[in-house]
Order: sequence, then structure tokens, then C-alpha cells
Amino acid sequence: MNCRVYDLNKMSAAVIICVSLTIAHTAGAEEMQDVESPVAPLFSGFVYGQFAQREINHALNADNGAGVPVQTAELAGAIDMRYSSLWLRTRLTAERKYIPTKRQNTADEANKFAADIPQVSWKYIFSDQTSFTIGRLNLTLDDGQSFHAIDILEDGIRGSDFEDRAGKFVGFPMVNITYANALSAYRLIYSDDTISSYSYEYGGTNPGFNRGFRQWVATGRKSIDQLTATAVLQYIEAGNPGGGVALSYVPTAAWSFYVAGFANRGNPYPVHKNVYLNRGDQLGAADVYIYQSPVQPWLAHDGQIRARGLAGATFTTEANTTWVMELWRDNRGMNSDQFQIWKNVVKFHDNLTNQSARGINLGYDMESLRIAHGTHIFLRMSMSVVHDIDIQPSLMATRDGSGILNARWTQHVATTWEYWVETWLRFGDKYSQYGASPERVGVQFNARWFF
Amino acid sequence: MRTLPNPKRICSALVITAFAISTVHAAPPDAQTLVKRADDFRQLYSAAIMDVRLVQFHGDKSERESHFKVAVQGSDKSLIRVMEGADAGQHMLMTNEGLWIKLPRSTRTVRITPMQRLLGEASVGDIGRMRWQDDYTAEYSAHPEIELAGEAAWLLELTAKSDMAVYPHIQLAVSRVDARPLEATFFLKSGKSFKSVTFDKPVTINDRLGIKRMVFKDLIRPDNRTEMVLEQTVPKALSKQLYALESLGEWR
Repeated sequence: MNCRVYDLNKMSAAVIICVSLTIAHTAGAEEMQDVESPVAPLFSGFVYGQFAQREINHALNADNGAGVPVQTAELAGAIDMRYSSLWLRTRLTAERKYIPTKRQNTADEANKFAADIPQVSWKYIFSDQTSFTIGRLNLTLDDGQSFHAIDILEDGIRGSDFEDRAGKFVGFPMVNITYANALSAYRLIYSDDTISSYSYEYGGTNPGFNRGFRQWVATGRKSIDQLTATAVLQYIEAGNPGGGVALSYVPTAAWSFYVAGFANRGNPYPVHKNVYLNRGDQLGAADVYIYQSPVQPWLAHDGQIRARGLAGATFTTEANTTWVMELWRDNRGMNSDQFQIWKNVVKFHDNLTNQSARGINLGYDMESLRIAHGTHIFLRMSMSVVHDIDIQPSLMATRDGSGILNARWTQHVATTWEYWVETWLRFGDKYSQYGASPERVGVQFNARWFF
Repeated sequence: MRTLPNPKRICSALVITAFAISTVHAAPPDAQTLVKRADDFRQLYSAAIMDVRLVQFHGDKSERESHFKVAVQGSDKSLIRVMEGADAGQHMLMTNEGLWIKLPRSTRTVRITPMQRLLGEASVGDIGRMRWQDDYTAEYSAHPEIELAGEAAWLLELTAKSDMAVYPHIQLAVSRVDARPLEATFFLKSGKSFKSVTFDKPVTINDRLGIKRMVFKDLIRPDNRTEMVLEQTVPKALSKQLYALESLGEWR
């Protein structure tokens, strides 16, 4: 049984400092009256339960080398505390996974108990327009749902939980100074995320996107009538500056349109060594990896500029059905040549006679797929079928004809609890982007009880 | 000891009497002025914090109930906090530039279209924008003199100035005595009338006359209705920073 406690000691120190500052601040602050300063901390939260059953694609995942759990069960409690301008979320998790694999260093069953403070923030308001915030938090900058081109301070991979219903999003440790009014806002941010260690875990919320380093970020937002423009500049400590822009426009009560683009130098995403070395042909014994993972962030500082972008629209019908349509492209993943090399590598590993080596190497190959590449289309419909029941089917697909079909059924049973059931299906041929995925079909039952 | 009448009430009564006399004996008042006067019964202060309760009925059975705190600043900015119900903890910011929502217990802010419904027959706009005078141009209906539940009324046609308005067209009936709102019918862009609202008689709220309860009816599914009750109004202006998108979720 594994027992892991993440960052609790470091975060506790930060929280104690924040609480002390808050108590001192609340004692004499006049401008915080709008926040109706409570005399005692306010607690709320939810208990979250999840059970998921998945079917593994054995075609390219011998012995489940990718480490996909067939069954997962999770029980979590998220407790939010507000005290004046301090907000803190504590999450306690008990998780049980059943992973049928013979891969080295993984057990068939894995139990995990974890305690974390994924969100904490304290804000000091200097004036009607200016404030200072310190904590571990996320900042929303664009309107994308299936892809977030400029959201460099959000978790990058959300699965289908765009709304963070499970309370899994982890904030970036940061300080920021904000000047904001109703029509514009400007922020200067320094974030040191070196405390976050995100080693690869299948289905993890954020395997390496934008995390684990120090960065400076400047953002600006300006609204003119129904048009809102946001600009972002990023400077990562080791170099690699980047910048992006997002525009959103709501021309009518029913329609909204948005675009976003970001470009930066380098690529923090891990890449398979064979893809990086352009070794697609004449592979041999040196291309079989047993003791050391060939998947590393080789391109982090290669100096090349890579761009990503999104264009989307939402439409709400008079019957109150909402459609989301998005088109996005991410050049940080493999390009078409690299994907061809990757396919050759997979075919080579697929033909290994040593079944143990085959399983391990196909597992490593699958890790390269965690970064989507190429152009994607996303469609989602949300509608209420009867009172308190919502259904939400969605489709994400790429040009190679592969993709994910997803459907969610949500019922708000009472004011204190809700449940939702999700099912998903990956389709496409054996060597396509989603068809090659080790996970084929899944169904997940989730419930939340609020307190 | 006998209590002296409140001077503000005497002034209000005189103004209403003068208005009533003028409407009976003079030319019909300007339609836009009537809308402005009707608005004054719905939003009592230019800046205020209100407690609003919505109860959704199917037939005689109450199905859902929710409680909102609403902060308004003029006619173009409002913050809505969901206090009870399935969406408790949700925050919304409504400005001329758009509508944003902070989902309950989520770290993410999402921009939504104004069409997306709040609860039952009441929409975000019904709670967050209680003044029609700035968003609509008003003119008299082709047959403006009507009688509604035994009361003489003017029938007005309100046309949205912007495509952002949830209701492109509203038909509003106001009393010919004091211009208080009696009933309104809402039309979609397709021209279909899909809901209506009837206003209770004004009552004294703090030191002013205002509408405390209104009932929204679904004209497509007539068994459905939503009652909206203004439980409390406190004249108060929030810090300007709370109306910035970056602060959404921080009003508490």
C-alpha cells in the first residue's frame, strides 16, 4: 500500500502566513466591508465519489504496458474555507486502482491516500482598482472548452471534467498584482511551481503541461462593447518567451464567438527518444528500452517556435439547447512526419518476440500520445431533458478519422447532491491518434454531496 | 403619541396623484417616461443589494427553490450569487459587455450567452437587469388603451436597442393611474411569445413603493410558473473592483 502526502508541509507554512496576514488585515480594513467580513471562518465543500470501469485496447498495449487502470474507485472530500479575503481548499483522497499489468515496478492493485491543498489564495485590496494576491491558484484567460490556447496558468489536461466537478485542479504558486475595473484589467504575475512534481501517471490531470518551473507572466484584458480582448506575455526562467492573444465576441443573446492563439519557444512536452532522433527505419536492439524510459522533454530548449490556436462558437437555441463548436490545432505534439516515425517505432515494438519487452516498449510508445497533435474538431450539445436532468453528448475528432465520443448524464437529485454518469468511446484504426490509445471504452459513475 | 406622516410618503403620494390627474386629463405621457416610472417600481435604488427567492412550480406543486443575492449598479452592472439550490455557490457577472459565470466550487470562469437559463421561467436577465429604460425603446401599441383585471392600463411595445438582449421584444402593460407595471409578455427573436410576467401590487419596501412579488408563466407549457420574490433590498454600492471579471467569485 502506498501512502503519499503531497506538499502539505510547504503549503501549510504558506497558509499560516496567509491566515496571520488576514487576521491582521481584517482587524482594520475598511475597504473589505463589501466582502462582509465574517467573524468566524465559513466552511463548505463536498464529498465526491467515483467508480470507473474501462476496457483496454490490447492491440497495441500488450500486458497493459501503458498502465491503464481497468477499475478505479475514488472517495474524496474537498473542504473549502473562506475567512475574509482568504480562500483555502483542502482535498483528502482515497483511491483504489486495479491495473492488470506485468510491467516492472507496478502492482496489480494500487491504493493511494493523499492530502493536499490544491487551492489557497489571499487578496489584499489597495484601492478600488488595485489588489495583490498570493497563493496557489489558477487563472482563466481564454474561453476555450476542449482546448485552452492561452491558459498557461491552468491545468492543461482536464479530460471531460471542464468544470472541475471533482475538485482536482491544482493551483500554481504565485504572487500577482492586479489593476482591474469593469472594462479592463492588467496583471503582473510571478509563479514558482518548482514544488510541483508531476511524473507521468495514466489519466493524471496534468502530466507536465506548463508546470514545474518559474515564470513571469503579464496579462491585459480590455472590453469594448461586446468584444473582449486578452493578451498574455510569458517568460520562463530558462528562456523560452511566449505570447498569445484571445478575442471573444458576443454579437447576440444566443451566439458567442472566440479565438485564441499562443506561440512560444521550446516544447516542455516529453517526446519519445526515437521520434526525437528521427529513428523511424532500420530499428534494432538499441531501440528497445527496458530500464530507462525513452520518453523525455528533449525539445524543451530547442529554440523552435511552436504555435497553438483555437476558434470556437457557442449557440443557444430558443428551446435552451446549447451547442459548442471548436476547431483547434496544437503544434507542440508530433507533426505528421514525426507521427509516421512513431508509427514505425510502434510497429517495430509490436513485432518483438520477447513479450515482456514488447509490453514495456509499447507502453512507452503510448506515452507519446498524451500530447494531442494536428487539427481537432470538437462538438458538444447540452440540453435539459426534464427538470433537473441534463444530457451532454460530445465528439472530438482529428483529420485521421479517429476521435472520442463522450456522453454525460447529470441529475441534480436534491439541493444537496447530484450524480453524473459518463461514458466514452475511442474510435479509429489501430495506428491512428485515438484508435491507438490503450483505453478503448469506459463508463464512470460520479456523485457529489454538498455540505 | 401620534406619529407624524413620513414626508417622503406625502411627496410620493402627491407625485402619484399629480401623475394620475395628468394622465386622465392631458395627452398620453411619453412612452419612454412610462417605462422609466415602471422601472422605478422594480429597481428601487440605482445601487443596491437584494435578496431574491425563486420558486418554480409545476401545477400546484413546488419543484425547485433557489435564493439569490443580487448586487446592482445602475442599469448596466450586476452580480448574482446563488445562495441555495443545486447551483449554490455559483457567481454571475452581467455587464453590457457580456455575461460570465463562475461555477460552484470550480476555479474556472466561463463566458455564457445571455440566453442560457437561470431557473425555470426566470432568466439571468430577469434577475440581473431590472431596468428596461436603457435597453429598450418604447412606443404605444396600436391599441394602447386596455383594461387589465379591471384596471385601466397603457399597452406599450418595447424593442431592444441591442442584439444582446434576451428578449428582442416585450409587450408591457402599465397602470394608467401610477404607471406601475401590471403585466409583460416576452417575445423571442422568431416572434414567438414564450413567457409572461404579472406583477403584484406595490408595497412599501424600506421607504419606497416597490414590487415585491412577480410571477413568470411559461406560455408554451402553461402548467409551469416561477414566482420571484424580492425578500430584501439594501441600498448599498459595492466596491467597483467586485464588478471586474477578475474578481468574480469574491463577493461574499
